[in-house]
Amino acid sequence: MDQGLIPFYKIIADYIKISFVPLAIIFSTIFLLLLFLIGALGTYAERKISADIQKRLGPNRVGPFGLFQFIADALKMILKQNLMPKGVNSFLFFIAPLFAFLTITFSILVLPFSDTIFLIDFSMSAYFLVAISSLMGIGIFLGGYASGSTWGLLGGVRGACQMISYEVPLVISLFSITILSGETSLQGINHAQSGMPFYWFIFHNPFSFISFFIFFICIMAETNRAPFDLPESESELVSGFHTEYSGMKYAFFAISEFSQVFVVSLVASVLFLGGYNLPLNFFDGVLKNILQLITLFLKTGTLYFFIIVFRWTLPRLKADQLITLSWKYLTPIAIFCLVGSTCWMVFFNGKSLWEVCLFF
Amino acid sequence: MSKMSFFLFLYLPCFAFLFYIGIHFLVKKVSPKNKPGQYQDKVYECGLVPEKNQQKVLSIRFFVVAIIFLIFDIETTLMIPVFKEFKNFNTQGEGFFILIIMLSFLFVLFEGLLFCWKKGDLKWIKD
Amino acid sequence: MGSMFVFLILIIILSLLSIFLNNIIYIVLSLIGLFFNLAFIYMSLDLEFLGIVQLMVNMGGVVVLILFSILLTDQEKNPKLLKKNKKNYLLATIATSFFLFIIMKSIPEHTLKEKVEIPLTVLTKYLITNFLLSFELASFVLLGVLILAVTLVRGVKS
Repeated sequence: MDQGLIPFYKIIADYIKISFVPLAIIFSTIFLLLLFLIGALGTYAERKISADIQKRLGPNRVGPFGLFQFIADALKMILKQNLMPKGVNSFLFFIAPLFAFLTITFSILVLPFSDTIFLIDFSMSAYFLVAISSLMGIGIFLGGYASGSTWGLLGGVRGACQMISYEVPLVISLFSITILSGETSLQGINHAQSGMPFYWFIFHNPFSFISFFIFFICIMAETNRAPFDLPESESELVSGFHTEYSGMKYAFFAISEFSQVFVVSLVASVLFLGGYNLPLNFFDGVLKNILQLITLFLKTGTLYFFIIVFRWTLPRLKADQLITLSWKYLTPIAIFCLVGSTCWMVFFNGKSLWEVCLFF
Repeated sequence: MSKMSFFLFLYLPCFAFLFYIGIHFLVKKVSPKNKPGQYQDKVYECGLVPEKNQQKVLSIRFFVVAIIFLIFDIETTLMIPVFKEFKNFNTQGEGFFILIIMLSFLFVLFEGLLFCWKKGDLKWIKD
Repeated sequence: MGSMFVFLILIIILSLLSIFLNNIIYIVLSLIGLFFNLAFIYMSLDLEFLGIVQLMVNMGGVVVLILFSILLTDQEKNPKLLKKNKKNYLLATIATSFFLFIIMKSIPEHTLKEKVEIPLTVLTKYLITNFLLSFELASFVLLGVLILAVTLVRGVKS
């Protein structure tokens, strides 16, 4: 189980008679490009769901149900002029979307998709993902700084400030999961839960139930999704930190944002909703892995759907409300839930709510 | 860290970098040349002509938030190993001991947050 | 050791770049690369916790603080900010060689030859039993630093 896809590589390598290192290269590249594709599909999903909420049709001409709209969008982005304002540092302007892309590159390395479909099993991968999300904040700041416009810089500074403010309650609610499972790697946290819903960590404690909602709010804020999209506020600063970016550079920013939402909802479903565990243990081998993958994608898709719905239903928070929410509300509540979880674990000796009720 | 993880940690960022540069080269060939227009090299400002260059604005409030975040970041990083081993200690019956340790650690830093709250550092609109 | 050679050379190159470059944002970019390489070297030696500390504290917190303070000190208004004095180079070389000499003399010989494995459990056990007072004092030090920094910044008129 620790070896991930290596036995799979060895089977194929024995069949084709090459060493399995090029296979590792090919598979990791395929994973990254698949995540890129999922980000692009996310734009289509967003347009369709927002159209549903607003009682209109959405894209329905390009392909069946408008499914190939993202290909048309990609072609349009490629054919646009690459504008750059005069007097702007061209190296910084070029490098800023790369930070966003590097965030999802490092995220795909540690994500567990099933028992054997993962690239690296790295202890402390949950905290690694949190640390890597700061790279995206730096990318937003650089994008705003290199834009050459004051409004872009303002959007970039607000974006970086929002990122760092919401990282504290995120890590504290991650601690309450670390207490329950005793592991910090995503694979380990997954194996500490089982398939049945009452073994998920969200139902372990009343305190971890609240922690889940704090985590959910923080991940929406970390990826600049509405109602936290002040850095790219569409009606205030035109487009915030990515006003001056056109064509492929904007495409990288946008797709990295959607992919990051996918990554982060996958992490939330692994941490709280039981991950890829199946409820029944009848299956084995390849069928088991495929079913686990489907289970994980169903849970991730549900969270992704809710994140998209929240964007189109809730109004945007102001700058001072953002900071107030994070430091005055979320951090104290997260600390309270952490202390509560720890007390529960001490007094009930690690049993979940279900097990305590069964005992009575 | 196994050799495979080391290798993938090396390889995938390099691939991401090359992918980024490669796509930009491809796009450069396909995209139209920049035709000189009147406002093309100026920054967008809702239809007006921008008068000043980029002003490096920063309110002090952002800096205060960054300082508070740094302190809390170091605190949470120091707490990671203790929380990771909590479950082991709990099964051996020493969970209460760690609870007291972590309570005092968290309380001291929560007091710092309360100090900043009461002194108005987290307040963004000064009445 | 051979496979990490690339990273050691990268670290030296990036740290030299962060001293000798002129544009301050380029310096910050080389700092980001430097911290990431440091974290990576720790992680490849199986000391994942130290690598995560580097990433979270340095790359997450210190770099953001430096970026904000760059905006506070505008380079166009104060052009003397990044001026480098020739005398400082000689002093810096002397200080660096002194530090390196002390460090090389204080590392025990046997740790340079074999790989030392310190699992996180052992670290935590020592943190909780032998070094508990230092651990709790660290929280007080952090509290003091927070109050001091915030009080200093509050007196600045923006």
